[in-house]
Amino acid sequence: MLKLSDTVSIKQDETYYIFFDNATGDIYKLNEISYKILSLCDGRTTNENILSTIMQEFNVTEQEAKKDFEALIQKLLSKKYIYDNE
Amino acid sequence: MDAYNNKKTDNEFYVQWHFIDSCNLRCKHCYQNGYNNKNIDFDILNAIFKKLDEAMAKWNMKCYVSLTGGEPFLKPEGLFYLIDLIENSDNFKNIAVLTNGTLINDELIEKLKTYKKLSEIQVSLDGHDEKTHDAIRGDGAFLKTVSAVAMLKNSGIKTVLMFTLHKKNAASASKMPELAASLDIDALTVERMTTMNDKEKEEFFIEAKDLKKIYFDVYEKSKIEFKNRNTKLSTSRPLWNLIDENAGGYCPIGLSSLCIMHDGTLLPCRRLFLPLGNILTDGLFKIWYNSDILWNLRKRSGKNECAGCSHSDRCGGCKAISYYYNHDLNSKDPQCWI
Repeated sequence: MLKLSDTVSIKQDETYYIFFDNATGDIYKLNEISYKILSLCDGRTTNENILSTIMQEFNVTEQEAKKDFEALIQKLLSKKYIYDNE
Repeated sequence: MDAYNNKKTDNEFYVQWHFIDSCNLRCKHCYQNGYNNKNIDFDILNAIFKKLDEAMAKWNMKCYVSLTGGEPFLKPEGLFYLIDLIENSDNFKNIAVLTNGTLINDELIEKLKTYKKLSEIQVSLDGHDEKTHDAIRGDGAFLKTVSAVAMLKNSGIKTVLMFTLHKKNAASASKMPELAASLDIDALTVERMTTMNDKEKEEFFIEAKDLKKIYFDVYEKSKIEFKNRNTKLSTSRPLWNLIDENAGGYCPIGLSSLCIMHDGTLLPCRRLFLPLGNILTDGLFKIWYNSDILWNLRKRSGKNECAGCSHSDRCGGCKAISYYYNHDLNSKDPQCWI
């Protein structure tokens, strides 16, 4: 199951969804779906459950949810911002 | 997921760095408890500086740093070590030194004059006369401080006075512009003391209606005394907007300022003793991005009691005073008179 690295964090403030790299100081703006996906990368929620939640909460098809999910996760895995704890 | 940076290159970040906690005075209103007379740890100073330097570079901001203590001139070797580091970094814009003025001498002034980034020396003066000032800061302090101010002015260094206002020196406030003019200083700041507990409230707190009169008197007196002079009344802080719609400012804590203690502990402001973490062990990014206290301070709407006020863009009250009075950072400043 996917989990955010200890050196990163996410935050929803009054205006933005934000992703922080606490080691380098880099900041990224997230959209609402990406924020929701990352908030579920807690090391306990399965990828299937993340996708299912996205489909329900944002009223998107499985294909659309998978596309967003995989694009985001591949990017974050390559930067080691998330890891698979299994 | 896009890289995000809303900081413009001309943006300023303010840091008040208390690099030592030892002091030669024991002022009645001081918010400091410990005065351990430690030696300067240059490794700690350097490590803190590097963290700040790195953050300013990442955020594309220029740091305005006020170096203070305790009393910074009690350890000039530490003070000048930091000034040297800052002077040589492109990420730092200006340096101010906040002092009680009692230890300043010609040798120190000559060295200070060699730094291009030194923008001002702020000297604390808590009364318009010896009796008032010395009752707060100790016998002999007034004459030493006034003498230091004269020396600084003669040297050409920009010199500003900080008057910390409370019940014990309230009668002196409206007489400060006259003293400031006579000393030909560059600016006078009148700033309220933060009373942090019931005992301090009883002894020092000024009620809102009384504060309104004091601010009004200081403002009007300054207009007269500073006419045709280079001396200015600093009115960039909360509540001054209620006196003059062109004055005042929203407190930058949580947005673009921090306080660093000698051991690396970070506070939102020296007068708001809510430790956020330690810059040496946690790092600045982790604290700045994740502290719940800072995110609470950043709220400009919702539960912020000043949100609907017509002055909120240039006021918002003092968060520290609100916190200690109402136990709520986003409550109305108890000294606000509207």
